[in-house]
Amino acid sequence: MIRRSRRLVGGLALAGLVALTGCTSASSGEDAEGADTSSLPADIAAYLEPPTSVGTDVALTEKPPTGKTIAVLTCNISSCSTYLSAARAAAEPLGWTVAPFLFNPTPEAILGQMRAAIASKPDGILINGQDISIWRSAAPLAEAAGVPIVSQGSTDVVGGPIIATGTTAAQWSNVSQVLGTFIAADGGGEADVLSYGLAPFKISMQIATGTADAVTSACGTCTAEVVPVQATAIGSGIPQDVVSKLQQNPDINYVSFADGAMTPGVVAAVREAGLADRVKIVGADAQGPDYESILKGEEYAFVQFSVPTYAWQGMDALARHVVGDPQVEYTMPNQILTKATIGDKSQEEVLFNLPPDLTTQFPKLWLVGQ
Amino acid sequence: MSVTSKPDTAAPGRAARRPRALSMSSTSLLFVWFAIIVVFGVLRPETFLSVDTFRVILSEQAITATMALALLLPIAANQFDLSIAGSMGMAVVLLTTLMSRAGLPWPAAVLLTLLGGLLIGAVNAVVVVGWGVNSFIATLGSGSILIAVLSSINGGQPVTSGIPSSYTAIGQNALLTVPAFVFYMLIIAGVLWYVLEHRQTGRYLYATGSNSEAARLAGVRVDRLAALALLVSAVLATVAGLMFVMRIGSGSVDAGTPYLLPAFAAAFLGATQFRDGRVNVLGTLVTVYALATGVKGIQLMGAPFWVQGAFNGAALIVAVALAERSRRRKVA
Repeated sequence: MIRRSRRLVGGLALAGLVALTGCTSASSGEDAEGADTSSLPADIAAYLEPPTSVGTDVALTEKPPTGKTIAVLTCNISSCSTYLSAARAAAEPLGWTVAPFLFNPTPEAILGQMRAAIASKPDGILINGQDISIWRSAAPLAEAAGVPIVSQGSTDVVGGPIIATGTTAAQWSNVSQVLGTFIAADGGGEADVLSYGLAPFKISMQIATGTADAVTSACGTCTAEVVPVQATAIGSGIPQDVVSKLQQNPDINYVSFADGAMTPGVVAAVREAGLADRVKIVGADAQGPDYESILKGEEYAFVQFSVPTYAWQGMDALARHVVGDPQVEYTMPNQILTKATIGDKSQEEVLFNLPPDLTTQFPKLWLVGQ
Repeated sequence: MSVTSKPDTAAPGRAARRPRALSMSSTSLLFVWFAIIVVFGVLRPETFLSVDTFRVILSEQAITATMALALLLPIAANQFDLSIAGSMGMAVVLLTTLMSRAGLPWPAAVLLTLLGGLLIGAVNAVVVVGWGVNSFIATLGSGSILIAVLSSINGGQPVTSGIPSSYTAIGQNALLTVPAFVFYMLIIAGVLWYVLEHRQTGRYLYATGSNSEAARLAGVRVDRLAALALLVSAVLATVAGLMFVMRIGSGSVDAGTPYLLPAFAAAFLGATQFRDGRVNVLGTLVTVYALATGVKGIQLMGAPFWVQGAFNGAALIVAVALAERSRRRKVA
């Protein structure tokens, strides 16, 4: 009797499993409409086209010597891994090597890795995403050792050991201006936005805040709320928070992320909550999953800046320093990625190589490989 | 292993006396859960008290619940398995790589991934049971090694394409609007509950966790049970990884890390419920969903992000304090 009931329970469970796996999908995989860009102002619509410049066209006065070692400090989330890979790719045509120093985004870890990098006596340091306010106590060590530092993805300015920043605050502001104006135009005066930023990264919060400001500046009837989150909330806390805020406020129709690294789990959570048709997911710095989601219609649009491009710009700044050339002011190549602007281009083409001939333009400027 | 009560020294094969089902000492979290629902139901009736809200809570916590369930057998046997985050990450990376890079059909990729989980469990078992290394240390080490090795694959980049929709569909298909992976978690819970509550293996596991020497002298194969527990926890953490890919559709190496602490919190807090200090399935599930209900209520109130962590800590303290207060009254 007991064995028969066990078999019955087991059989019912198996039947249920088969029924579940055999059901046709109710919601996933159907392409949604791509972004309608016809209402964009002309200056914003210009970003629908891929950029053509790497941010400078000033060649070096001489070919840099080979054999240099560059310490690269970056974090351990996906966009930072991209930065490290690009730094390695940029070092290769110069005949340089990269020594990575990865940090968890805590002040102690960042400062520790900066000290370790300086102690390794590199020919230069690239640091991504962390302001000097975190590693200021290590700055005199770098100056004393004569190690030039390029601080990227930050709000830093040139001074002390920092010889270049690659991108200026104005260029980061441009990312949020383009994104915010896009949202306002797309929303037709009815955009209500959640703008998420990663609290440990100043640039991330600048983009999140700037986007919110740009939305409300461009559209008097729109609203925008800035939501700072921790990196540890990626994949779990962020999706839950998004769903809860959408449930709490039925007017919200845009969720913006300062970095595509924050989006894991959001599409799934919004879909499971039955809210996918109500909200458009947008942001800056799309990652691989975002590329796929845009093509599937699950995410709407991203303002892309190429992390690899500013890694190459960073290496360019060090090359100029090595040969004694003056530093240049870089522009940041941007593009608005939608289903239409991606088309049939690969991830490599739209996410990482902005412009598409990034990896050949810089070597020409460096007079290498000729 | 007991959280708040004295060790259970009942001989294996004889069921320990179970506490009354509705006493405060064994159901404090149920009262807390009920209070949470009442409070937020009054404060936010239009958003909190809805089928959508409870369905979302059910879905959001399915993977956390699975990871917490993975810990039950080792903890019952007085072992720790801190490598479950690494096992889940391994599953995510291996499954997505096999499907997208190697082009394997998903059934083969799933089978190979499960074998990978079994291998991790076997290694843990050898180190803990065979070599006698403390399980906390051994699995902390193996988990760190796993994450490091996985990070070296593909430069730590997530696998984002080439995952067939036929695979994600088996998790995202819905029955009564509830995604399938929730039901997979409930099936796992049902099987574990049956083993722990109604099978000799379960009784022997608790006896091993309670007093391994007494259990050994009574003829229980404590080493074999400890090894089995570590094998099962690794496989269940692997299953959690499979569910993660079903839900998210991509895979990153650190997928398991955010689930580690909530899983342990749920397993240990769940031990204060229903079974007088012993880890148990029902207590674990009640804990996961009671805490998630509270967090959801706070989120719907518009509280800042940091309040969630404070709430989880406070709920932990309140539930354990209620259970301990009631137990002391009984003893007195």
